[in-house]
Amino acid sequence: MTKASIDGVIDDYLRRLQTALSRLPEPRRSQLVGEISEHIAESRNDLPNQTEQEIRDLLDRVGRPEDIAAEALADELELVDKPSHRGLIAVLIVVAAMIVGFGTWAILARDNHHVTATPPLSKKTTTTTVSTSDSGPTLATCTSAVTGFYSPPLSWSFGGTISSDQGVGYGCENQEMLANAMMKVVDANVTPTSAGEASGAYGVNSAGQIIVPNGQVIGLYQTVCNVLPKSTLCING
Amino acid sequence: MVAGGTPKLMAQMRRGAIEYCVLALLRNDERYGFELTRELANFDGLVTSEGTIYPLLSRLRQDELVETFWQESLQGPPRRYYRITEKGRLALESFVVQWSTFRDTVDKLILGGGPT
Repeated sequence: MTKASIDGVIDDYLRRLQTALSRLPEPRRSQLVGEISEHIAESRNDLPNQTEQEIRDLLDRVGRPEDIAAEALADELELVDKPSHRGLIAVLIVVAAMIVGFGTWAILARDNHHVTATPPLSKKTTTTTVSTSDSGPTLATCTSAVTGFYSPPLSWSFGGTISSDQGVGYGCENQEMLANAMMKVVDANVTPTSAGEASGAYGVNSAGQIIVPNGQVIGLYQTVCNVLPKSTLCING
Repeated sequence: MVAGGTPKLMAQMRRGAIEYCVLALLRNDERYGFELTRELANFDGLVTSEGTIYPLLSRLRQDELVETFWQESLQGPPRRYYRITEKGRLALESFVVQWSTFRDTVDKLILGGGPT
């Protein structure tokens, strides 16, 4: 194959690319054609013999003009998105759909739409039901979660750090919401005295765990006091 | 999820992550397009065809995450080099943090663990 005919194969390819990109506005279209043309020229320099087959293989690696155009046009349609987060959002949407699908399946299979939480330290069993279809973490759902430990396999503890991703779907959104929910439980276990003062009906054990009267551990003292150092628990504790 | 959805899923995941892979390749070095595509081709599953990198580079430039400049070459015509911008570095740093958290969360779920 002569150099002229090899040039012809490449020119044909670039013409097909121009046509495929016809819906792309200038100057983006010319830039793209220019860059791919440079890429082909660079790749061609690497070919030992520049046979027709080598050139065709090279163009196969570059890809079908229609596929390149589809990629470029998809970008044009996305210009309304926030640029720096666009990629991650695409990944998040896909995988969030997987998580929701899997999580819903697992919970439906296990517990007929609901997760039942049973306090492990209480002989008297109280049950907290957390809907799996809630619209997002709120102080109410977080408080519900604090007042009950989940049974295995969804066993978890509030001791230590909870990150925002761990809280989602389990009632609490972040450390702050968790601390506020724990304080809500503590406050509910404060008994007013006749003198108008409050006496704690909760306690903190030697492991730094907050225990309410039914014997249930609701979390670590330190977890609350890191976030709410001026709360009654932390001032009195 | 059906098995037939896998290629589409891979395409969507690749599309979401690849611009940050390009920014990561440019984090320490300026590179020209041909060089970038060869580097990316060394990583399985990241690139379907060499040409589809160029619309991506064009987008990165439009978003001011990379900038280009020309440099003489000893082996032919001048080359168009890509360089990460400060905005690009910030976007990459932000992605690295978010990706790490996100990956750990998904791993925890799909590997059968519960929240800790």
